[in-house]
Formats: sequence, C-alpha cells, structure tokens
Amino acid sequence: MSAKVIAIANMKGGVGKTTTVVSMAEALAANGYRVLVIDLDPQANASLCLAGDSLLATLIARKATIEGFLENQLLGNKKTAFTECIRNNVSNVSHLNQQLAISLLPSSPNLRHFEQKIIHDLTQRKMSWSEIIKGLSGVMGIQLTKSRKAFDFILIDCAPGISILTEVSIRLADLIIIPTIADFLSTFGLQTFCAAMADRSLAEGVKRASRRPYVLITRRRQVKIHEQTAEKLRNEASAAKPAFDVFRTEIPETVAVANALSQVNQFPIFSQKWGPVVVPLLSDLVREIGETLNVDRA
Amino acid sequence: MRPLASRAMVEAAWGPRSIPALSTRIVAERLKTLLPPDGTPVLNRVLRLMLSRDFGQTVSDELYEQARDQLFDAGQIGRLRGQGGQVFLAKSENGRTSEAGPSDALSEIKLMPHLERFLTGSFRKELDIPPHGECLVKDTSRLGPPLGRWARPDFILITAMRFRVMPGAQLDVYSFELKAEFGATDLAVYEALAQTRFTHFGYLVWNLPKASSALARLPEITAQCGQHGIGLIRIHKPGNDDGFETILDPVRKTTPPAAVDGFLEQRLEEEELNRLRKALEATQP
Repeated sequence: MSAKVIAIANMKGGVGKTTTVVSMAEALAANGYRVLVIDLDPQANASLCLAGDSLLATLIARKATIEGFLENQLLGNKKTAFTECIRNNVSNVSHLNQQLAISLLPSSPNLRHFEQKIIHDLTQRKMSWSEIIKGLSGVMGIQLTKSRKAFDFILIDCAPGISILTEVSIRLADLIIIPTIADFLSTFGLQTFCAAMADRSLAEGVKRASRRPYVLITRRRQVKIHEQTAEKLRNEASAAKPAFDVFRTEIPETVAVANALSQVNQFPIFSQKWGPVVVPLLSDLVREIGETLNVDRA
Repeated sequence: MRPLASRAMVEAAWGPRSIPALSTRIVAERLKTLLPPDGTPVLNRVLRLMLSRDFGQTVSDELYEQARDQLFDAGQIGRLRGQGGQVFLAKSENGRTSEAGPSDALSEIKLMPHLERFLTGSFRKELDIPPHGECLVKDTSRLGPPLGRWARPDFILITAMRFRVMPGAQLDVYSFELKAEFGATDLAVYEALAQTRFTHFGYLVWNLPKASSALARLPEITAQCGQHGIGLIRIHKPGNDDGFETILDPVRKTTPPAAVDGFLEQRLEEEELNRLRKALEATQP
C-alpha cells in the first residue's frame, strides 16, 4: 500500500495536536501499520515524545532533522534525501512483544529561525510567496512520494497557525485532521483556520486534498459547554456545504493521556501507556481513519 | 497483525546503504553497554527495544536471543525469570565497567570470610545469648534447592534457648544476604525479604566503602529496607568488626514454624540439629 499522508493542524495552540499525533501514530502502529511521523513544529514536542530526549539530542546534533533536510535541499550544495534524515525504530513502546513500527523525521527549536531564513533568502532571490510555497511543495512532494512505499501512514505534526511549512503539508496531505477542544475559543479558531485554507487554495489555484478537513474533538469533558459545542460542530458537519467533517470518536481529557506523554524515558506497553479508557477510543479512531481513506485493515 | 517493517522491506524502499548489517557479536557488544553497570536487571522486551532504537532497525528475536545466550554462556550476564525474562550485567562484569575507581571493590566471595567472622564474633556478642543457649552460624550460600530462587541466604544464624523464668523456648533464625559494592539494588532488598519466608529476621549486608560511587543509592536502599522490615548492615572496612555498621534493625516476621522447621532440616547437619534440640529441651535450666 502507498502511504496515506495525514496533516494534523490547527490555527490554535494547546488543542492537542501533538497528543493526537503521538497517540494516533502509536495506535496505527499497534494495529500493524508502518508509520512515519514528520514533525514540523519547532517546539519539537512530538519528536521528544516519540524519540526521547537522549535520542533526539543525538539526531539534532547530526542535523538529521527536517530543517537539516530542507537546508541542504534549498540552500546547500548537497542534495540530502529524506531517508537520510529519517530515523527508524524510534518508539519506546511495545505491543504484543514487538516494538511499534514508528519512524521519525524530527524537528528542533532551530526550525523557527530556519523557516524565517528560507523566506528571507528566497525572497532575496526575487521569489514570490506562492513560488516559495510551490517550490517547497515540489521538494517535499518528491520526497514524500519516495517514502510512501516504505510506510502505510505519514503523519505530519504542524505548528500552530499557518506557517509556510503548514501550508505545504496541507497541500500535500490526503487528509487534514484538526484537533479541537469543544469550547468557544477553539471553535472560533477552527472556523478561521478552515476559511483561511479555503481562501488560499482558491486564490492560488493550488490542488488541495479533495476531502474536507476532519475535526477531532479532544480533551472532551462532561460539562455543558463541551456538550453544546460538540453538538454545534456536528450540526455544521451535517450542513449542506460543510467546511469540515467531524470524527465520531472523541478523545476525553484523562489523567492517562497526560501521563502518557510524560513517559519519554520509559519503555511501556501500548495498552498500559494509554490505559483502558483511551485504548478502545484510539482503536475506533484508527477504524474511522481507515474508512475515511479507504485503507484496508492491517 | 501485520508483521512490522522488516529490514528487507526498508532496504527494498531505500537501498541497503543506510542499514548496517547486524551480527551476533555487534548486538552482544551493544547489549552489554545498554545494561546498567550496577547490575539492575532489564526485561528482555525492553532490552530488545532499546537495541532496536539504538541501531535504528529491528533486532529480530532470533538475533537478540543468540547475542544474549552468547553473553550468558561467557558468564558476562545473568538471567532472571518472570515477565518474559530479565538479564543483568554479571557482577564481575559490572565491577569492570563501573566507575568504582580504586576503592576496595571486593567480590562477594572475598567478603564471605569477613562476614562470617563478624557474625560469629561481634554480632553474636550483641545478641547476649545466655550460657545455656545455643548460637549457630552457617554458610548456606551453596545449600538448598538448585532451581529455587532467593532461597539461599549467604549466611544463617540460629539462636535457641529456654526462657529463664517462664515455661517455653525461643528459636530465632536470621538470614543474611551479602552484596558487593555495586550489587545492592531494589532487587537485593526483595531477595533479603524473600528469604524471610523461611526465617524470622532478614538482613541485607552491603559492602559500601566510604568513597564509593554507589553511595548515592544508600538512602534509597535504606528506605526500601525500612519499608519491608529488613535489617541493613553496611560494611565500611571488612577487615575488622568495627568496620561493620548496623544501619537498620530488622522487624521479626511471623514466619510459620513449619516453614522454619523444614528450612533448618534441609540446611543443617544432624549434629547441628541435635545442638539446637538440646538447647530447646525442657530439662535445660
């Protein structure tokens, strides 16, 4: 199977993007899929959660990171391939006595400066914004095509907001997942984000994923405001021309999820890491993603 | 479940140049470096995962087991049962790899005569055994069932006496688990605790010289011993009895008399058993 590319993005920070990436990557891998995670967030939290601090430090020192790859591709002489920066077998989690098959193209805090540097250098070369996006999309697209054979899913963790790399990954993705807390502020950001994506696509005529983005309700609590907002989101998804769809699965706010992300230097079993409440939900989410992308079960 | 990405699959996609071939020797060498130098055991599941992360490729069950067995046969690692099995760096190996420096890192075997001297001397004296009582010290490190886990204390000490005024007699069995400088871990405490299923008092005896880098573990080990009612004797200098410090006294366990009886019957000679019987006889003063 050729890998399906999923971008996890949202304008707003703190809505559970990284949690979604890490939990989804591990749930997909526990279901037998081979997963590559590309971290485009300079906070590098997904990289840290998946690789642990020691391995991540080594990868950053070796420049085996997304900015290391882009620097060579866009500004350097040597054309490094994606594969030289991808680290296989990074997961510290096992399932059925096997390590989860997760590979990582990590990020580092230097990515923020590097993104600015790309824009500066390329605009100095008289390239327009859309040309930069187009060029970057080309570079990333070629590498993603090469990597599609080795994986079943490629998850891209985007930084909050709409950065140049977020735009590129959204254009290349087969599916965009927007994790959202079911409250007023998060929903407000969601509408803005979907509108911005639609406007950019129309204005620049760039081919986007044909599917509407899918909203994943995260950090769900049994409170009135969350109930009402979740209902509004589902109403929007069932409208005549909806801006997005909504996954049936909702990820609750639990201690198990918070604890799971702190287990970076331990070697837990998948079911123990996420706990008996969240594991079945992740399984449901994997099934929904499979249905959405018409992927055969592993 | 679909098999996880194999080396062949990755090579097919990316070419073999980025994936170095792994041999049993390479895996065995790396395995040793990943094991804690203080002898703390690591689950087989975790160790194989650590190796895969370290190499950036899947280490197969077969390759892992070959490397592990090779080190085990060479006496460089030890193995434990439970939870899919565990391995630990052998003591001689951990002594070599530790950063102990020039401290007097004696092996358990070399410490045994010193502990025996202490138990038959100062320790026994502290117990204040009356003249009509009996006190035996025995090296039991090589006695007991061959496959029994944690059933071989390094030493046992038995005291037997009649009460002076009240009718009846008292028999106390002490077990001593001796650990070298880098051998005292949580597991060592549990080992000493496990031995109290046959004895009344369990002690952990730890050779911990003043300048040892293992000194950082003393508060944790003391706390663990305290929680489980295990006594802790620290050996500063094994050469004389003043170099033995009792940090914690043990709590007497309510071990079933039948368990103690069976244990003594298996570990003691007939002559030793007779000495104990005599000390417990009602005809004693």
